[in-house]
Formats: sequence, C-alpha cells, structure tokens
Amino acid sequence: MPVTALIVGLTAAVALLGVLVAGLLRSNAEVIRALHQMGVNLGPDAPGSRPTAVALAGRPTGGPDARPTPGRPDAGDVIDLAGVTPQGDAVSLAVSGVRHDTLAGFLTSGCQTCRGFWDAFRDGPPDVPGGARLVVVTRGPEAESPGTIAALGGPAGGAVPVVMSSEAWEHYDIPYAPYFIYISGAASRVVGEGVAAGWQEVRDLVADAVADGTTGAGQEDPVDDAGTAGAGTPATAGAVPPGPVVSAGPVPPGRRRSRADRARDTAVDLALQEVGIGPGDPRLHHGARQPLKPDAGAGAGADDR
Amino acid sequence: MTTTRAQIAAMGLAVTPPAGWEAAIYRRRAEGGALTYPVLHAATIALPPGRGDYGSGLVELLGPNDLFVALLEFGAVAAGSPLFAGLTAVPGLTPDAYRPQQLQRTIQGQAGVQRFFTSAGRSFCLYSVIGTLTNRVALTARANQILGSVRVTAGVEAGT
Repeated sequence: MPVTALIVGLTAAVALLGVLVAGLLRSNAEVIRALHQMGVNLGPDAPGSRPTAVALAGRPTGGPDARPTPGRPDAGDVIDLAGVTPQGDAVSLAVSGVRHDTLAGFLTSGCQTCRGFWDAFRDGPPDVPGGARLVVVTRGPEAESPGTIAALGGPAGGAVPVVMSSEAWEHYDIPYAPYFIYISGAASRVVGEGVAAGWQEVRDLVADAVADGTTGAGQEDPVDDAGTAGAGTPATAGAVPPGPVVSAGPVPPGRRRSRADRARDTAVDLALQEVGIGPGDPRLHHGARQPLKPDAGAGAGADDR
Repeated sequence: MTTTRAQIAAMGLAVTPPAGWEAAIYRRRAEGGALTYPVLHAATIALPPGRGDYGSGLVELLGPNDLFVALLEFGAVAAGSPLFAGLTAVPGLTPDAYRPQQLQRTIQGQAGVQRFFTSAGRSFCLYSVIGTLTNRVALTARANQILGSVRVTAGVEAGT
C-alpha cells in the first residue's frame, strides 16, 4: 500500500513538473520569436541574424516604410554628440555642417547584443563603408558606470570614440539598444537608422545605403557660421585638383558613388570634352565666368551674367 | 534644419562649439609623479584620437578652410610670470598674428599663432593653426568665434 501511494505521488509530481516545463518552453519560444522579429537570432549556429525591417536607409516619415518607432518629425533636427568620455573628459563631436558622415551606435553596458558590438570595436577601428566616422554613444554617467563603459570601450583614445550623453539618446529618440543612426554631415540630417544583431549586419546595411546613394552625402556643401563654404568649393580659382571634370559634391576618399551618379558624371564629362573642356580647365571654377565654347579665348566675357 | 549648440565643460574650462566645430577638454593621466593640466582642443575637422597637445596628428589633416585652436594650461605658478601676466583674459586674434614661423612644426602653406595669458588665476598658452595663410582673414574670424565662447573658472588642481 505505501508503495502504491509512493508511485501515485511520484506520478503526480512528474506530471506537475511536466506542466511547468511545458509552460517554460512556451514562454521561451515566445521570447525567442519576439527577438527574432527584432533581428536577433540567439541560435549558436545561426548564420547571421536578419536585420529588422528598419533598414539603414532614408525613409519618408509617415509613409508605409516609416520608422516603426516614436516619430522623427524632422530628420534635420540633429545635434552634435556632446557629453563626456568614460575617462571624464568633455567632448563635442560635430555631426552637421561637416564633410564627414557619422554612424552613431547607441549601446548600453547591459544588453547582451551590445556586447558583440563592444567586442568588435575594442580591438581596432572597424571598416565603415563610405568612410563614415563611427561613434559609440551611451547614456550619461547618471545612468551608466563610466568605469564599466571604459572597460568595454577599451583604452582611452582608442579606435572608436565613446561619448556618454543621455541628451543625445533623448534627442534622437533612441527606442532600444543597440541602435544605429547614420547622419549625413553635408546634408545635416539623419538619412538612415536601424538595428541589427551584429556589426557585420550593420556594415552590410551601410554598404547598401552608400551604394544606393541614400546616405545623401555630397548633395550639399556644409557651410559654417561664418558663411564660408566647406569641402567641394575650391578655395582659390588656381587650386585645380586633378581627376574628373565634374563631381556632384564632396565625396570622401573611398566613398563609392551610386551607379546612376557615376553614369551621370560620365555623360557630363563626355559632353564637356566635346566642347574642349577637360580636367583642370579654369572655366569650371568660380571666378572664371567664360562661355562654355571651344573657341572662347582668354578674357572673352569677363562675366556672362 | 534645427541645430542646437551645446556647451561642454570640464576642469574649469567651458566652450560652446559653433556649427561644424568639434571640441574636447581633457587632462592626460599623470605618470612618474609629473603634474598634468587641462587642455582644450577645438577644430573644424574631426578630432583624431591620439593627437598631441599641440595638435600633432591633427594639423596635418587641415584643409584650406580648416583651423585648430588649443588652450594649454601651465599651472598657477606660471600665472605670476611676466610671460603670462601680460594678458589677463582669453585673447582675440588678428589675421596678421598668424605666421608660418609660429608653427610648432612647419607645414607648407599653414600658419600659426601663440599667445600666453592668465585668466581666473590660471595661466594658459593659446595656440592656433590655420590650414592656409591665404585664408587668414576668414579663418581668424572663425577662431575668434570659438575663442569668444571659452569660459575659465578658478580652482582647478593639477592632476597627479
């Protein structure tokens, strides 16, 4: 009789444990499914997590592909990345009105997915397609431990600058970490944003955006407060760089122009060459207002306006 | 486009970088019992890591429309010396102050200027480099723009 009671008790206990395990498995599956929808694949042999639908490319606000996070009503509402470093230095990194683009990676010390980015950035400067400057932004010292961030970011003055700024997180309306924002320095606007599970995925998204020309760099010349133009405007009429006759704007070294832009440049180059204008021709630059005619002699038409 | 300008401050120094400027205020870690003092860097290009206090590693990257400004503190003892006592505030600059001979290291086309001053009982060297001497008028105006935003307060000890 006692043996029967023991068997019944054990059976009941096993059944109860089975119910509990089933519940845990179901809960775990729901969590993994939710993470997977965010682009995070926790499988050890995962070939690489898919990026989310929030691709790193410019999207019109409010459209069908609009950013599914709290709204960004004005992509031109950008601020410099100002805060402190984990070492306690004050720093302000310019993201607008400058020649370089900025890829700001918003990371925390606690999120597991962020660890992969910290590891990728600690040992050396990662290759950012298009030459954008990579900056890691964490919340400020009131929310993150500078010592922990310093340990994650590596030695001071390391490969990737780290700025601790809760103001940047709030201004850019960062929904979660990790999160990346691509800011065109020339256009002074956010031209892409999104998230992925690893640096390689982010890099691929940026490479696609650069190749497609959606990063927007080169569309406008940065102009400083003093009103002087930045890159793309020859400093003097005599400073004629070698190379193609036409450039649509300041394209940093190594930047890959889109196929359409390259085709357009080639067509314009050919048209100019047909009228006798080649690389370095002074008529291509400010201050030399001469008619674009092959027989236009020196001094013909000082100002054709 | 909306752009907000933010002031950064540390170690009794503050600066509000205009649009297109970067700035940093730092103090090197003291080694071997040496004293270290705050340094302020500002430039119209991205501040590269590992640059020297006088801008080595940065000035080589300046374009013709770029400039670099540094304030380097020398400690309270120097504040009473004739070299630093002549000017008692962050000085403004004039275009003719920039000379190629003032560069820490000569770079073709560039020009520099160095001024020593005392503010809030603290002694500083102001060092600035412009990308090209031919643009000195416009670039001096930009240098004065950021120098006008610099604030110095008293009571900062040297790092040891």
